[in-house]
Amino acid sequence: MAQENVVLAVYGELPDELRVALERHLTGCDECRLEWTAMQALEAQLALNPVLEPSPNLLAQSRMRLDEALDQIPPHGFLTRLRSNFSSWMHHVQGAPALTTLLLGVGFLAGNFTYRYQVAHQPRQDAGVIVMTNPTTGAVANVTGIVQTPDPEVVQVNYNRVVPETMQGSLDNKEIRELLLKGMAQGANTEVHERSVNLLSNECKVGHACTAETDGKGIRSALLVSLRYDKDAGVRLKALEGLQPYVGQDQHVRDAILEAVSSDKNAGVRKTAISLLTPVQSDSSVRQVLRTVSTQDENPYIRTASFQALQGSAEIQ
Amino acid sequence: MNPGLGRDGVGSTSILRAAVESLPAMSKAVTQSGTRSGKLTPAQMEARAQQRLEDDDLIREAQAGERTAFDALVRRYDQSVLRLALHMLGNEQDAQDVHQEAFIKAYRHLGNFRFECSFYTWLYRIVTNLCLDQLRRRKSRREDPATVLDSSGDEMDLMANISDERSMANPARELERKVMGEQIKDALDKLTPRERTVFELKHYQGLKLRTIGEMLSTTEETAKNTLFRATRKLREQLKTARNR
Ligand SMILES: [Zn+2]
Repeated sequence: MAQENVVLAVYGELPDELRVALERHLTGCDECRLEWTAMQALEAQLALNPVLEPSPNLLAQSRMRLDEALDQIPPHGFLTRLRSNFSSWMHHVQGAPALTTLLLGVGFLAGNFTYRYQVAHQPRQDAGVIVMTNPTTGAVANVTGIVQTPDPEVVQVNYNRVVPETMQGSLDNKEIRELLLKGMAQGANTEVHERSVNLLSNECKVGHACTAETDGKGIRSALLVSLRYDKDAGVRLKALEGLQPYVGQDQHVRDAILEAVSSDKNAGVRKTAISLLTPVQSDSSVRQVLRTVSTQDENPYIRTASFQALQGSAEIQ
Repeated sequence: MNPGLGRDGVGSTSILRAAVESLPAMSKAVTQSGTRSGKLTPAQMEARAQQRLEDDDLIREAQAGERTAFDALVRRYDQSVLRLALHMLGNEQDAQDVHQEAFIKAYRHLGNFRFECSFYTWLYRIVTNLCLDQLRRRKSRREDPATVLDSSGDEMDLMANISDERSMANPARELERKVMGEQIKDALDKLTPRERTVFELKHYQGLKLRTIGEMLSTTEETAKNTLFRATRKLREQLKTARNR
């Protein structure tokens, strides 16, 4: 049993209290200690068969194949039909507001049934079968609910509108910055996301008040998040650029850059990260990472670059 | 090292060294055992929660028939899907087939997605089942698993590819590495398809046993026992490999 716990501990599946017990057990039990060593040896061996990123070619080719296959599948299901009917109807309505008001006014859409429904619900005078009070204020964002009324012919559709707004202002403006931070967090819209990172990163780079707010909401921490988690290497590079001015003074920044040096998937990012370390290369943790990378990175250019960075620091000292 | 986990697979070899050298260090390693323990930093948790919210939005849009929303989901996960399939099947062609089939299944069945688990878990369930089928089919055909074909149909050796870049550093060590890599692949191929899948998801993908159980429609307990069996078999296999 304790031996099984060793396996669980190695894979981080042992609850904390049992881990402490196992730790104590290991000091007294040779068998389990052997188990522990054997598991560690297995890990070391298996590291020789690492998980590789698929090549960009394979990825691109797979995407193309998939896109073609998806194009051949007709749009599906009940929801699709409902949604597209609903939005094309909305589209009409928005295209002709005057006509709409007229039509809605005479109860054209639900006709007699609407009337009966409204009568049945007298207290709510404007009881919302037709709630399109002002069809010109914006597009429908999504349908949030469909409620069947007592009348089988009448449904109530709840939806949200998006009313697009625009704000124009200086990059130093607080509201603008907050909007850009929002855009940065918005992974789904790639273009907005990338542009936000670009703009804010440039702001930091040129030294326009890029504070490190401790609540994790400042631009600097947003850039740190991008550097660590963004899937797009170009965005991570951009984040790196923005962080450059702070490598000397901010330990968090330095740590994140070291992390990028030793484990970013993209060689370009790793290389840029190494170049940012020049002002702090005498820091012992920086030297440690550079030393490791200079012998172990899979890319020979990166090994050379970190070796040179190390050499540079040797000359300083 | 756990490359499947990307950034956080740091320093397990040094834990090994420390563990062999001294007992206190080993105890420390048990209690801290590392980075793959699934304990996320606050920033990671935040990033995950954010990702889940964005996924859910995209799924709702895709359920409403927006192809672009579905395409965005594909872009978010298809690299991981391909990576997993490539490592499990060791073959670009098969990995590409699984990639395509998985997303088509996801697209067709997205209407049934109930937001009870994350999209990632749901998608991985589809992917692992496809890989599992493929491994079973192979076992029954008794294909030679050591032969790997690339997309052009030429034989290739995944290990050789990484080795090439590093080989200038130390050719002797590289040869050893390459031989070991082959032995590991053989050992992995000797597992049953189910053991292979559980081991892959735990060791290389760092998923929780509970999630693995969910993905394979079984219990956490069964997944755990399968993992024990897999590690034992692998150790046995690789011990003989080393002594050969
Ligand atoms: Zn024991």
